[in-house]
Amino acid sequence: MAKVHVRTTINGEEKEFLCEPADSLLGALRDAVGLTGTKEGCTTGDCGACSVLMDGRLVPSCLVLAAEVQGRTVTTIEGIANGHALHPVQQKFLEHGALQCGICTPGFIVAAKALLDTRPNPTEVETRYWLAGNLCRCTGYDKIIRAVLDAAAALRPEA
Amino acid sequence: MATVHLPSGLTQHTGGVDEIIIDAPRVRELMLALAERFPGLAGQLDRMAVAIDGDIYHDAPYHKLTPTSEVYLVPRVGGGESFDQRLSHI
Amino acid sequence: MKDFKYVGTRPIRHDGLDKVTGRANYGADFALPGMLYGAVLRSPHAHARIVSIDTKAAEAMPGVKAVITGDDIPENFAKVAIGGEGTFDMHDMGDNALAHGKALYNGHAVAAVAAVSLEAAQEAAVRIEVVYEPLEPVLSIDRALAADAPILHENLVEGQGPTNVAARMELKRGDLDAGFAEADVVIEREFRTPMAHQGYIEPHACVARYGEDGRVLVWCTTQGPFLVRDACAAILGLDGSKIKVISSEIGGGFGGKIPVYLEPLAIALSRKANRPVKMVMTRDEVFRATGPTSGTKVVMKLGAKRDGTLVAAHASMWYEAGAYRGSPFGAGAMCCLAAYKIPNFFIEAYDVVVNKPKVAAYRAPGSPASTFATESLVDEIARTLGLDPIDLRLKNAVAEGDNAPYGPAYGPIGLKQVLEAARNHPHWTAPLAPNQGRGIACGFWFNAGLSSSATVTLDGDGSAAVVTGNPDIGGTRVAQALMVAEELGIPVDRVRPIVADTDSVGFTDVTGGSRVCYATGMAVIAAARDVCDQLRARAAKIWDIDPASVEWEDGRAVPPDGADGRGPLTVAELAAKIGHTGGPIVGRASVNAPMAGPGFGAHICDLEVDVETGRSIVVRYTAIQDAGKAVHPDFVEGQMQGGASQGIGMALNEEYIYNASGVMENAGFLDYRMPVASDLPMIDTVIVEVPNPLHPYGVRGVGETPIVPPLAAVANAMRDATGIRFTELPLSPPRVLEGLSARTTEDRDAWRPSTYQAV
Repeated sequence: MAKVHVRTTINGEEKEFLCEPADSLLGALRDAVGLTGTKEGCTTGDCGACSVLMDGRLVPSCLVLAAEVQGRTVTTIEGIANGHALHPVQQKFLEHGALQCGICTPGFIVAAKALLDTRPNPTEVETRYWLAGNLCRCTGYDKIIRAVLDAAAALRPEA
Repeated sequence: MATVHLPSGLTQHTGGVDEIIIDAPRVRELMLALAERFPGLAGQLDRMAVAIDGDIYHDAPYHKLTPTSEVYLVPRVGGGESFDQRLSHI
Repeated sequence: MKDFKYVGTRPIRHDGLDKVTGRANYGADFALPGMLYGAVLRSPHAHARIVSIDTKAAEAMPGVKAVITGDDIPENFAKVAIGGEGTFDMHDMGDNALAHGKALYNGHAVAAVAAVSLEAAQEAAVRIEVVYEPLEPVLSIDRALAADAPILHENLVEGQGPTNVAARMELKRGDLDAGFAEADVVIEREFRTPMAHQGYIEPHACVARYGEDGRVLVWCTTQGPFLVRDACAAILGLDGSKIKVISSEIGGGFGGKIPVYLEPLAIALSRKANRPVKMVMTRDEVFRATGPTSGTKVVMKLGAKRDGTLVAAHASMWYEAGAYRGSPFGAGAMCCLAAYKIPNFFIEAYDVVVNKPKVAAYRAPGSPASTFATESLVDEIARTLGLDPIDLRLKNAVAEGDNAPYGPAYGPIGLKQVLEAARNHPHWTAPLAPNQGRGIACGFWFNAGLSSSATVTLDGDGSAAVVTGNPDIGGTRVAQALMVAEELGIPVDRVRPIVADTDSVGFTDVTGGSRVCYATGMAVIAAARDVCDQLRARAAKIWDIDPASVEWEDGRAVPPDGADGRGPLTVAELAAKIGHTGGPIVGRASVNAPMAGPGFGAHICDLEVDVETGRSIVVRYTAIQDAGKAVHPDFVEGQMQGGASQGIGMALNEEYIYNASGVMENAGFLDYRMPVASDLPMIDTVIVEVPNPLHPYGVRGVGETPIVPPLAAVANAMRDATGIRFTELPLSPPRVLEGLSARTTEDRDAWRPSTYQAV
């Protein structure tokens, strides 16, 4: 079958790639585009390690077809920092020791950014439910939740 | 010289002896003496770790013993893995 | 205790930036030019004779470059000792990597393909024609032990007839009958836990390249790069000195990334195809074909006097090994009574093979299941006698000088301090809401020592690099850097921690057994002290005095009193002169450490039960543990919280579910239900520090102990909330509902027969 030509915007840059019609966005990002920061944990949408933003919306890239991003914008973990300035979620993950092995970290950071983009003052319960689609096996989530709540506080304009 | 304590699973090879004083300068000589005294133990000893005065060593044949050394033979448990669980029927 | 300047602080980890920006390279993130992709054909049967394998059709598929079967990995019957420690059965590990003659579990690798794309490899794999003769699968301990049970291995134990019992061990002390005769209360129950998986988020992955000169490069995600090297050499009959293993960043392991699965296949495929080969497991393969922890059956009887003194214990336990011998039954036996002084006991433990995946280590392997039994019974005895469960535990708790159940006397240990901390914690006396209950339980793990190597190099700018061989699963780089900073007296961000490949650092045992901060830390400290000694000698050279008269204090070489005009020299000042004083400075050390001081923990759990649905949720949780000395407290707390979370998962939901044919029915994260963020509360931690005399800073291993207490802590909280003593895990909603429905019957506390375990 002929490959599909996809033109899209990834992390603010115009990108073109070829993919099979059945390829997932996750596979295309990692193999065709070379952005391996997005991780594969299950390919069934259960673990959240492959979380990316598509037109600003949080999606598991393993359940999105690569061809679907034609004409859309995609933000991956590689596009979360602003140049050399880490996003507050990234900075707070470091400060709180909110990662151990780090394999789930890109997905959590993308998901947390998506939360704070739309809900700048989430409660702990809201944060826990928002992040319930991201599995972490190392931390018991405690330090992750603290880091996200602290990042939310850092992002809010001074009252 | 050391007092050696054997786990109950090994006493079938020692005629029921579970504690014995052995005159040996080091762990290696102690093991050889045990195997000589109780031939049935010979195939079992390399599956055991030794606790010397409370500290468990997996591989310390040249560790020196003193007259007051308390030595326990204990099953090996390794680095997060049960390295040697071939404790067949001890 | 020594005052520390850097140890005990919480600097940002050196590898943190790469891990929050997506730059860190994990197992599946590596590629080589011309690389092929591998796929594995796995047995659909749990137990079957392999009559024939025809690979012709697969080999003829477009893009296929190599197909291998068990014939390509000659069976190695030599019992090969690797790693300098103990022995792995290389025959079994090789047979597990690719079956010879018999498929022993659903998911057992039977053949593998390398092709130009993953899709081509997967399509070819299903075109391999395997003729199986299905055999009755053995799916439970009870079935494995039955007189008419099918036999997995004809010669499991040399000199014995057909059996599925690979090994037995026993421990005893005192006079059991006399002990129970003394008891005012005796409680006996049968406990069961199902197989459960480590659940690391990163699937197994590797790339292997077999060169024309016979040299092999393996890039893989592993807890033990040296073990991968030595195991691949033994399984494939290669020269280990020609294999170089580069460990990637590792996305979780918990013991499950110690054995090799894909690596020997990728090497064999690469050898056959003369191209590099990449292999990555799917999540389904991880569940079906890598090593979970044992399903268990534990029958335990505990006797106590009216005042709560424990006087006798009798335990019989059976651990599923999976398809090959080697469950953690021995550790289960050794750990179950480790917390208590019990004058009379008898423990027997059995290693039982069943048609399920070969178990691997999983965090304190063996201890959670047997401790679940002990801590449930201790709780029940406290209830029966009307005693506070912490008082009862303190009354019987072991302390320095008491003998462990496996023999030797304990050195300084912190169990009593841990229990006191639990009693003093506000959690213990906080009010409970309706349908809530509170439970407490203790846990123990030995903590391994074993072999580690380290080098510390000093640069002219006064910075240092520390090189070790342990993949960093949870912050060990920064912990090692903290130790170097402490010894050299330089800031931790001036230390570069490096995880080296197997060609670039001395032999080092696995990242596991809670041994990295302890044993590798000992090597790191000794290597750093070696650097300090050399710096003292360099200072003496500058001052033209006897090196022995120079002291090392707080990061400076200090001359003896009365050395006119010679002020102390800092690391930076000495480093700036190293070219003039003898050249570069490299410190080195290696250790073969005894097992670390044991770590005890206690956890308090508040559980709320929805009596309509049977769903229960942890509403408050506190983990307390003796860490000896917390080098980087964030990551000590992280280990305690993560271990607690895994244990809560085992207690509430996680289990391998098999159908009657032995096919796993929940091989995915949707159905194998691990805790998610909304399932858990914050997990409070209290770090107790009773220094371990075996380590220069007093460090104990901390990683494994915290998975031990949660099983009983949760079940004890369930007992408190519902009045029902559950003895089989997990406490999933259907089981809890069933228990609640029996709550008015007389036998509500009686052993509840298995509801899920296939027989």
